[in-house]
Amino acid sequence: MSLSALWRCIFTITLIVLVISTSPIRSHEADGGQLTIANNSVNSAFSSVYYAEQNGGDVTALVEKLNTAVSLIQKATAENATDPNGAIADLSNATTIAQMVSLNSTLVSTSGSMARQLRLYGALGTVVATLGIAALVYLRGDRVYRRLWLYVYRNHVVEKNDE
Amino acid sequence: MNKQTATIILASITLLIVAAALTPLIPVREPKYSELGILGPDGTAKGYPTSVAVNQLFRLYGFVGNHEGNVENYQLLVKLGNQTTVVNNATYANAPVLATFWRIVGENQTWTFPMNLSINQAGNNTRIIFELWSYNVPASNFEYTGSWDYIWLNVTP
Repeated sequence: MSLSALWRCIFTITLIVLVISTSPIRSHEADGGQLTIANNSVNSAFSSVYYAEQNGGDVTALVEKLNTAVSLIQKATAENATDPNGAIADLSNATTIAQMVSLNSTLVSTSGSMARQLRLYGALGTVVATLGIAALVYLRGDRVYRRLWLYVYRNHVVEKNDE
Repeated sequence: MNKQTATIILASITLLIVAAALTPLIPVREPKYSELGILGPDGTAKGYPTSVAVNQLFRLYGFVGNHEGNVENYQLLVKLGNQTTVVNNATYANAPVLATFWRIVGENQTWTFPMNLSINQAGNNTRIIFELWSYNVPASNFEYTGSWDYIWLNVTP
């Protein structure tokens, strides 16, 4: 082996050792990234829940699930130092729950909008029907009342009461 | 019954039914606010600690009520202040955060929770500040609601 080849070999080995030694060692500890992802997932899911409620949806069950995710995040934050694997699992579960809540809130929002429209149409229908019946009673009430009276008393015999 | 009386009765009944049908559609304007309360170790507004040792755990209870007209995403921040720490309804305290409590609270719901706290530095007239923050959906961040509370503590070495 020539001297230059030997130097090249030493340089390459040194470079490899340097690269290995400076590479970050992947820790099992839950890092800030996972916590941020879980936090953002919950806040994003909350926004979906908020809009679902604005659209008239019943978000009680969604809020309950979202609070489960919040509890998992708080648990993960507390246990990160003692049980990092547990913390990672909790953050992952919290993110999954939050994503499920986001998905379900779309359905709740749609059903809330439909229910609200139904209530609106129901109320407007009641108003229209009431006004229509009132107009009919006002215009034709007398005639209908008299016809009904005649029908009810069609067999009634008026007798002379001269005793 | 004459025609005039009948017309008045008919009009009254019609108006009543129309009003009853439309009432649920009219939005009710109620004052919107969030409640914040700090309760003592037994969950009542008494028995607050006045002196604790450094790193000694003490328990308080937080109480948050949501009357904002919609679901709210609350965070209660516990901060370590002193006599000079500025905090009011418009300005939150620029002080280190001791603990954060987080919960999503439905409309007209309350949230009562235990807070196990400890302070790692001695000092007289230490002020434990409690601030209520809520998530602003359009802005996508937590904002100070302006609700705050505090207790004074002497932290002995």
